Amino acid sequence: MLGEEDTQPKERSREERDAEVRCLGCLGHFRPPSGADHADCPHCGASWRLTWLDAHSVKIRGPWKKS
Amino acid sequence: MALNGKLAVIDLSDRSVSIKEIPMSVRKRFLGGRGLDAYLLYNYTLPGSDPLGPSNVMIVSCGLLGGLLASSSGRCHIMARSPLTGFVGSSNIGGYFAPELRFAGFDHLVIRGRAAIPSYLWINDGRIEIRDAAHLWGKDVFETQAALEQELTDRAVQTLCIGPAGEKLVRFATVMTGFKNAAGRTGLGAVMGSKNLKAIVARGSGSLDIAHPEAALEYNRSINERILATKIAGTMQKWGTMFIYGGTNAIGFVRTNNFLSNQLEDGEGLEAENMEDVSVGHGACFGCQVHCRHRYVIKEGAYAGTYAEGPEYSSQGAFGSMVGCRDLNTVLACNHLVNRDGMDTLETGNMIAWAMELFEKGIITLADTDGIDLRFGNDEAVIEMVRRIAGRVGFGHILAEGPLRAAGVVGRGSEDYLIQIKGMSNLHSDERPTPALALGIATSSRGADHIRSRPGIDVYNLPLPTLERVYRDNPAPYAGPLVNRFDSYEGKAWMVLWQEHNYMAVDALGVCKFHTIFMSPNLPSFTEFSRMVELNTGLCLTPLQIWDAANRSYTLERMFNIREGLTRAHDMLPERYFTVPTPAGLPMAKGKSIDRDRFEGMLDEYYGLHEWDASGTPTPQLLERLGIGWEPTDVL
Repeated sequence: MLGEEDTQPKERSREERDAEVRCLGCLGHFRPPSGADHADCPHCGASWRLTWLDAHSVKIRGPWKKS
Repeated sequence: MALNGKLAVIDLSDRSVSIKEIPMSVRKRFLGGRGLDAYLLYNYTLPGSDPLGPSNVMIVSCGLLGGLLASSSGRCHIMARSPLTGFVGSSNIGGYFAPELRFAGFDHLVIRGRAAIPSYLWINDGRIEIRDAAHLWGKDVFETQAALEQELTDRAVQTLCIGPAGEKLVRFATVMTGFKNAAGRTGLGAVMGSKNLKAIVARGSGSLDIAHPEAALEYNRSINERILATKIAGTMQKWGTMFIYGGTNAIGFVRTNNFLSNQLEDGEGLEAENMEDVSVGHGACFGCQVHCRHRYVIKEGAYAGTYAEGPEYSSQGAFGSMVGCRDLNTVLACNHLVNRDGMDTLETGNMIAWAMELFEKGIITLADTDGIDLRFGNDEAVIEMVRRIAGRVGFGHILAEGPLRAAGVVGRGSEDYLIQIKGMSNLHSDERPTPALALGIATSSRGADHIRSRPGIDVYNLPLPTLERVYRDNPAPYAGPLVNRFDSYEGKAWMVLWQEHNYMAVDALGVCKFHTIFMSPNLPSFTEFSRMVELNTGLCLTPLQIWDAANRSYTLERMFNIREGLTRAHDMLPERYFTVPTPAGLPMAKGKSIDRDRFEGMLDEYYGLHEWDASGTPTPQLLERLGIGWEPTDVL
């Protein structure tokens, strides 16, 4: 899992942190496109539904079910 | 100074009230709130006291920082011998009661005996009256508070009360204030009901003299800014604790259909975002900037048009995944019912989920359930069972006795399907993939529980430097391993112990757990607590002294439990945690069970770190060091 490699993370600003999510599958961080309702993790390929606290702050809501 | 609040010992049998000073030496050693309550419970109860008899004492308190310039300093703590477990009964409640109690001149109430008739306590600026409550008996939680505001002609009074469930001695009845604030766990509402005590009402106009007011104000502002800068706070502001559900269910951490799965398929209807359709805003407890509590109006069903508050993550599980229901409306209705009637949402949901698994397996039938079809996912049946438990009607009367007693009545091997520890049911979390969280629920002093010692941040697989910052020598020395994989057994005993101390300190100070290291590693803990205490009260306690006070109080809880029959066997997971692998979830959560030998090893390590012997009993050396092996019990 990426969480283990992430032992020396770079310092991130609050803005960077808010704009990123952490994949529930591999725990890798990534930045989804602004306003997207879902996104694929660039590290493991898992697809996630997204939820936006506001225009700049995003969280994973649950798995994206591909049709 | 800010710490002028008194201890009142109220005997409902002979209607006497004795008011005492709280020595500063005791404050320093036990702080206040849950910490000092543990000391009072140990000393004011005799071994073997009937939890529902007059010899049990019920203690109500505010924390050392209650009502002062500290973030969310309005927490109230209630303690007694639990009628659910027979061990420590302990529960924490938000809202506005605790500061009002302190403004009225009291920090701790010890209530013993039993009133001859239904009564309530009226605590008003240093005076305590025992008043007739016959006209309130039978009223629900909301009606009771409204009636007392009217009777006392003051809408600013703050009330703790029980509902019909507490009156009927449902063994997991709650003590309530406001629309949803609940001292939910361990059945303290039943203790209050057994004393014929319907309510405690407080009103105070006293001031609290803050030791260093300008510095305390500035420091509190900086702490609030730090809390609000976390992403977790922003998320809580929008969705409350309900936000947790989407992620945990996606991974496979959510107990479903009692214990048949660890993930509710197609459970999107329970996600927090659905609250946007019913929410009318958010509310908060005293002194809190986060405002995590939904306010909502039910839109559909038998309770359409009803105003309510909440629900929390616990209710999404209790009346959602655990009972196999996917309709948020069921969660909203049941959340309203348990708050109205005064019952623990988690224990209620667990009892119904357990009965549903028994029903699905044919262990019980329609003949047992009053003809109610208790198949998983039957929304109407769940709502009906909540009503029946609160009223002790039919099969509900059996479920109202809590897990162990209900299984004793049902028999037929039904005990094997309970998800309980020490007689208290668990959150809807599934800890099979997470050994640290499993150890936490197994060893918690009040039974299976997620807010007595859960190292919640363990599931994030945080970077090691972050773990070092949180756990290493903060403030107590620790030289052992720290491992950032949540599936590891290594180093987890210390994380559980550390959080035990942290949560005990939080409960003793009377602040909110969401404002400490619970779901984020970037929130305050011992160093900040020390500063808050000094600036507000003038008490100079180092972070290590606060840690020691927490240790002292936790050890007393352990001693109380041992006095009431606790053994190592009580620090054990339900058998299915060891024998049945998780059937669902992401790879990190699927196919997981707890390794028995490694769990026992972790338990040994945990005992050793505590300076408890192999049976889980605190050693004489520890008691001597903490100064609780020799202390006279009549200090207060």
